[in-house]
Amino acid sequence: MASETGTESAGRSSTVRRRLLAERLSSAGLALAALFAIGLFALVVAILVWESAPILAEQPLSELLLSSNWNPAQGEFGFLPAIVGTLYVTGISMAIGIPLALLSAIYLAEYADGRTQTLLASFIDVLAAVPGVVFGLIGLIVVVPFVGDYLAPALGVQSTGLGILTASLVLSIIVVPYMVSLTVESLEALPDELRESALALGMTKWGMIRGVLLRAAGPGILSAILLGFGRAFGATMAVVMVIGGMTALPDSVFEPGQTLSTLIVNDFGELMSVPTTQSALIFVGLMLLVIVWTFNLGAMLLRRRLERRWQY
Amino acid sequence: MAFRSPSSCSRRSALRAVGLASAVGLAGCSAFADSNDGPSIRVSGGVGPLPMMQVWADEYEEANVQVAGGGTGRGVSDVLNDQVDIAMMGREPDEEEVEQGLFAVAMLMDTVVGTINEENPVLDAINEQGLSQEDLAAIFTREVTHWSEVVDADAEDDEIVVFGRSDSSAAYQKWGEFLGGLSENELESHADANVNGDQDIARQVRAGVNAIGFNNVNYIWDANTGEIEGEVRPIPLDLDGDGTLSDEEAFYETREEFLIAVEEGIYPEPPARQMFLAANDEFTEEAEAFVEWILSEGQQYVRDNGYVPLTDDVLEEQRRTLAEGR
Repeated sequence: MASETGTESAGRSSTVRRRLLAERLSSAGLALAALFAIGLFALVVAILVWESAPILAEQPLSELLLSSNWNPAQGEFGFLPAIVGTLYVTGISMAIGIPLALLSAIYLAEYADGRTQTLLASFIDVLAAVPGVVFGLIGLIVVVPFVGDYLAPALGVQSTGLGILTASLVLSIIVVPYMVSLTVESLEALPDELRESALALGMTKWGMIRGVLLRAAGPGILSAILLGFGRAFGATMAVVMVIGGMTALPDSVFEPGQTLSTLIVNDFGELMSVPTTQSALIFVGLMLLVIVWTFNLGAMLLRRRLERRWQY
Repeated sequence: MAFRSPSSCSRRSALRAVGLASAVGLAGCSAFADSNDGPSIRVSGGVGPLPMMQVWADEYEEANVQVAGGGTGRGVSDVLNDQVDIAMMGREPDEEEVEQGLFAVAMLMDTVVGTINEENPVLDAINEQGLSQEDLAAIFTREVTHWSEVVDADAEDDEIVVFGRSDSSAAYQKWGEFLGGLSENELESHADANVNGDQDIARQVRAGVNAIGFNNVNYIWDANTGEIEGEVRPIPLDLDGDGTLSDEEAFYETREEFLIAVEEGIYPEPPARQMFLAANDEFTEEAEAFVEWILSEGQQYVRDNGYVPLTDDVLEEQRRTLAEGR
């Protein structure tokens, strides 16, 4: 950047040199920090793979994934019950959570105004910050008796209240705030001309939201849902408190079950000292990581494609 | 942009305050550790013996004892990795663990008792007859599903609700052994629901009139008075299986009485079980002195805290094992 005319004094050129040095150093520092973060991630993956190698060497992957016999003491590690439990809990909580989140986000972004909006939005934010264990306690005190004493008898089922459905209900409340925040953001980011022109054409407000805004905010809403899915998939503490912890294939949603993350929590305490079990549980961790990873990657690709082609 | 600078500034100063506070805290902590002149012993492991270890750590004056929980397996892996000096174990060491160099001595006994709700429809009948080991095995494996099938009482409609432990628990393991060699997983798969920890089982038993579970002594008898208090009631064992609870079998009135029955071996083992202290190969000098103290003077605190002291013979044997090393 220094000019070549030779008019600048020696002092000025040293300032420039100093600034260039600082520039180079800071960019190197930033690159180092980024590399460090990536390196840590690679290290985590490497450790997980290394530690789960013993169990993979001992038993074929298909056996691990498709067998429903879980009995670490006998060397039987069938993850199917936990996988099925995870799918149940994630699926039901998303089925309840998505409509709830979309409707409240639409209300917050398009109907509520002024103070109401600020107040409600701050509530949602606080809800997102509440630790899972608090939801677990509430689940134990409120949702478990509700399911056991009212909901199950009303449907003619016997249940202690601890089970897959209870875990899904608690979890659906946990994932909603994230989805609401992101959906509100993407709705608010839409230009007002969009609303004005739709209304000017004679659309009703609801028609405008449904026909125009939701479509326009599509990629944002999709990523909100995917983020909620990620949360639900890995949720641990609240789920472990109310799911009833049984490692067998569940017959109904009122039965107790197990998810991949609760399996780790429930079994690591006493058995970490037995190498094969430790390896099996670390393999569960690896599975969680790989699933969430592929999901995020897929979501990113999908979103990129959508954003490129999206038109309102 | 103008509105951003005050907020980022305040955030920065807040961060700085937090950093400063934690630095001061850390300094204070290490100062505290340094101020204690004696050697320090690190202990981790089983949640079952944890409260007892805390009492011992307070009473022991020769060294500064730092106690952490984490579960038996955690304690074992800590001690084998030299992270701690002593591991607390709620069960005897596995063969695999001994092969890795674990050396353990017994420290005390602990036990669980079958529990039901105070409003249980057949509470009186159970208190009169007791339940035999076979009855309990049938209940926990769901061979019988109604109270009327195990006691003489009119309770056809009352279906038993069985609670087990979802976490890996030495108490649950021993309970399964007592019921006829059932593994933790077999028990788990028969239960109506499994919960995390002793506390949660007590909670479910308090909540359900037809619930059955099993709990540690301190969830049944009040920790201070030693009397039965609250909604959790013990299930007396019909030891000879004659269908009545004779005088020799009735020792559930107070905690004192019950713990003596365990100590004398009248209450069966399992579910009563020894708990262990373990080291990697051999105890350090300070740790050995502490364990020696636990096996002698330390035993006097055991019964007051709801555990069962080892008998003199067993104590003698453990002290010998400790002195000889592996």
